[in-house]
Amino acid sequence: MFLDGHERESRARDSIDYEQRPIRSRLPRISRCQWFDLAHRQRDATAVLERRTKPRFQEPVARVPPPGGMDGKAEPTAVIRHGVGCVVTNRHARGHRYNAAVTIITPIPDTGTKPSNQEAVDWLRAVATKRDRGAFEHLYRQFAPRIKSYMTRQGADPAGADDLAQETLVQVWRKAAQYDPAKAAPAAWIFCVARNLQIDRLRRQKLHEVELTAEADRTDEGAAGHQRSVERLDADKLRELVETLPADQMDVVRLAFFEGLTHSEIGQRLSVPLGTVKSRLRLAFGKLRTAMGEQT
Amino acid sequence: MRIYHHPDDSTVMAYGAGALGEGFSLVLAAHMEYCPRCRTRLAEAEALGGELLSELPPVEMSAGGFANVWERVQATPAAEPSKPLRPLPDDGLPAVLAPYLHGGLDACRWRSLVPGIRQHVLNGVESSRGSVRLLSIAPGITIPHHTHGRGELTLVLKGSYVDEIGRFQRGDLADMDASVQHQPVADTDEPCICLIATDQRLRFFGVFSRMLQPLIGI
Repeated sequence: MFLDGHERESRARDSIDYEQRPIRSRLPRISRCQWFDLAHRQRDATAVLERRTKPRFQEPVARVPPPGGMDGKAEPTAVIRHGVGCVVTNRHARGHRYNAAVTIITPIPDTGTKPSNQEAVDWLRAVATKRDRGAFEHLYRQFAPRIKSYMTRQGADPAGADDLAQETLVQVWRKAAQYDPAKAAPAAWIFCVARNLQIDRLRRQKLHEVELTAEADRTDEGAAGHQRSVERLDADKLRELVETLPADQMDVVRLAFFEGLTHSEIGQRLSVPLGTVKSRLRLAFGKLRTAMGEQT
Repeated sequence: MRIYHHPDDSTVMAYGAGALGEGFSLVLAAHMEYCPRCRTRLAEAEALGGELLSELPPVEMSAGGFANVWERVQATPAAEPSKPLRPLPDDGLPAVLAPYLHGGLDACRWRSLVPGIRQHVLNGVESSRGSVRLLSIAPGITIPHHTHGRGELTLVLKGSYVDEIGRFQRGDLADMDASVQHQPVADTDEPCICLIATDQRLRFFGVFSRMLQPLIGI
């Protein structure tokens, strides 16, 4: 069964709003469960409707592909379970309650294909110092397809996203010498290159960046302590942390990072007040920072 | 230099995510030149961005994508020289403002709004329905009670002001939304100069201030 091992129930349950009603009244409405509300959360997701019996979950009763269809590769990322409770889907939170519970199953990170932090650092170094084609190709294979995915989410069409991913890699090549492993993980640095390109090309905005000399950071008294904590940011540790965040917080974080929505737009999308959006972001960020600060 | 007031974490995250408009990102970048704490937070937000990027389901690149990229990098083999990084501002203005303020604050063409309050609108910054402006508040002058349509970032560049939240000095940033009402007063003997980005017009409470608003254009 293709759901095995893909479930993150406990994590997803935080975001579910249950409504206790007799199961009979819920049954007829399951078919009207609207996929697109979920689709806004995660575009690659498939919703799976399941009927609840004993033992707890039976076979799915319906699978609803994401808009645009699936290319046969994407993992199902959402399950709508019947009978557990009632879902408040985001767009119609006030008016419509669907008679299913939703478990958002986030795609399992394919750790096998993710570069380890150190590998990627070595590749960037080899590109910077030796202009190494092999290392550059590794970077391309690891990052370009994900940057393309990022650009698509930011609103680029497929061809445009492909161009932007290529352009990002060209900039990575050109700027590789500026990369400082003490300050950022390779993925974070490459993310910034892609983000800046996105701001410039997709949003057509002027880029306002903080570019300070290294001396500035060192001479600044207050900076010493802060700088150390930046150096400590460990990509592998961060990876674990991200997976422990509750789904409602991650939803907001993903919308901010990948769809470039402002806080009020996120609020509209999820039908939650602006204050809730901000507090979820704050909570998520706070947890990550605490955990990163605690590591030795 | 000690900074006491910082942007909200959610604002820093939005900046790191590249989701802020030009006006807000300008004010935030200016604050970060003063503030090591917020630079660290930004680095953390970017680290999160990197991690989320690595987690995205990959989308297959077009055939010949790498060959194309390789061709392009071979065509320009020289590495891009590192940008001359900027020194930390000492007494001056944040370097990120330099393109908008040729000649510094003295060269600004201030326009008087009401006695004691002057403004200079920064041209060439896109900020939704709001604007980015410098406001110069003479000592002792109060800006009437108001709230903010959706959001406002205020960075103090010179002097200081006091409002219901606290005292804001050079480098301090006030991150306000519609829930905040305030009535700032410049509280030193020099004018308080602030960099302010809004994404909607302010909402004044007093009848007189509201009548004045169309004339002064805040």
